[in-house]
Amino acid sequence: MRILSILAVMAFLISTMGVGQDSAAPAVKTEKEGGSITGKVALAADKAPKRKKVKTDADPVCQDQYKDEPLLSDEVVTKEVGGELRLQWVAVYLKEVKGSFEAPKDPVTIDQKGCRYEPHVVMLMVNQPLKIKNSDPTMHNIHAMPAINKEFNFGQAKAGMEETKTFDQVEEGFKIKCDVHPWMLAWAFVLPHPFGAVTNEDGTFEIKNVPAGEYDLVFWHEKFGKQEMKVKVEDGKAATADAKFEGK
Amino acid sequence: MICAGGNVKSKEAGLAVPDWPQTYGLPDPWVIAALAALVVASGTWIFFAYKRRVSLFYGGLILAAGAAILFTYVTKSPPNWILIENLRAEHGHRLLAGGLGVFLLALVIGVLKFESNVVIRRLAVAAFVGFLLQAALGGLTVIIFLKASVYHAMLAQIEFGLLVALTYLLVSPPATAPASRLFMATTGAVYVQILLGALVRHYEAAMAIPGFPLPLLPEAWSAGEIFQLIHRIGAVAVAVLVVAAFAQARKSDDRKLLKPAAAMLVMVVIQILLGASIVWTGAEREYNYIPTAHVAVGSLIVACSLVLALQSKRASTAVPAAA
Repeated sequence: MRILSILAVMAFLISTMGVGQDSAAPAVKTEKEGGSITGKVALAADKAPKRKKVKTDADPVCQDQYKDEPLLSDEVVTKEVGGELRLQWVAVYLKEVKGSFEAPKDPVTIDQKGCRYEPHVVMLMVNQPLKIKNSDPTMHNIHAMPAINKEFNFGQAKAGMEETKTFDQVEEGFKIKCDVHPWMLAWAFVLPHPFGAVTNEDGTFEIKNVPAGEYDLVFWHEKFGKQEMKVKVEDGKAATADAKFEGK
Repeated sequence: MICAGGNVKSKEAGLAVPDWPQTYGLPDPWVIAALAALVVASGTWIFFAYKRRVSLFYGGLILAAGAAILFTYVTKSPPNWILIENLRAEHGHRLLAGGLGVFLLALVIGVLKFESNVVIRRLAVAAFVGFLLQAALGGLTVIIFLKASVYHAMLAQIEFGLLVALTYLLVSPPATAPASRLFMATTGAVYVQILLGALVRHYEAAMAIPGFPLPLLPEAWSAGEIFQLIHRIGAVAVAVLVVAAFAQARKSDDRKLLKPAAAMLVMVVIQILLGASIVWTGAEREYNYIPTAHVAVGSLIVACSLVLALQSKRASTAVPAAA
């Protein structure tokens, strides 16, 4: 009888533990919860495509920076690793994650340096600050062209100027360009959650602290398009998701 | 201005200066120039009102306007703007607009003061009002991120036509006889073709049909492809009308008709080649001078057709030599 009472109390306590939380939301409570997704993105091509040379003579400051080595386009950047061509600047993110996530206060930074945007693909959360810097000794303007969020265009005439903007709507893959230097282009992703990453120069990525569950993982490249795959994440484990794009 | 504006579009520099009427937060030079010119013009008018010294009045006004523009250019333009291609295109185009505005202000003041012909007076006022509207449209284009740019381009051509007609009538007093219907139709067709060209450009549809002269039809049927197709059909229609106009001018044996008709014929051939060249070069940015030239030659064809139509009014009132 006593054992039954203890079991009944334990059962009651366990049943009330979910009250007040979104029962559909596997919300991450601490940094150490959840699993991770790692992987690499490759390009199926016979040989590495040549990066286009960019003419920078429209601005003598930019031209001066590239008098020895030309500026190369960031549109298709590959590197041979382990016998395969890995693709940089691929946006990788979970399509849908149940629950609500607070945007970090720390900004994501995009810098105008060497008459190009660093990084070429930027990922941030809804209402997370985007810090826009000018590190070049010349005039830039920053023209964000979202279809859903509010479009903006402003100038930064000198090195050291900074401005912060936020986007209040989810939006995938919109352009940020400079109307003074027409070759400058970046892409932005505004997600409702923090589970996204951009492949580095080795073509690899890692998304941490993903709540356990099954998800659709999206891979996006500005030239090679979009593809999705299913991925299952378990607590404390790293799921692997590799993708390959067909070269055009 | 047509060339300057066309150059802005060809270089995609329309938003290189992201604000209006300021320039990177500084007061826009043409606003200062226009205000300075207005003050000087008013003072000069009062001084010369009793003496009617037309040449001194115009000379003083233009000098003052020039000094004002130079002053603002030196002190208020963004640093190094002239060295940076897209800034040079957009900011330079705004400065030129300022200069044109001052000139038009002087012109309309002079016409209203010294010209009695009603048609000329109305044209001058229309040209100045058109300029103000064009300046406002240009500003709106910047503020709403180029969504009004096609209307800015279209109004530029209408404004250009007004100025061509005004210039012609200031030199040759207006005739009352009706203009040739063929020449009027040619002018109308040229204008429609120019407006279609503006739509092709602003819908980024230069390569909507990716070859010239073939394929004849586009692969898809969105707005850009349809405008491109109609623009090509329009080119054929304009060419036919221009050839007919030339034939009529030749038949009339009037050199004052033959000259603009011949010029128009040559321009149309050049224009078709320029249009084809845009397609042959893939509308690549490095060949951006070709679309600019295409816009400029289109305007020259407008000028020739307008002069031809106006001249035909005079030709039909000419008294034949006695037998």
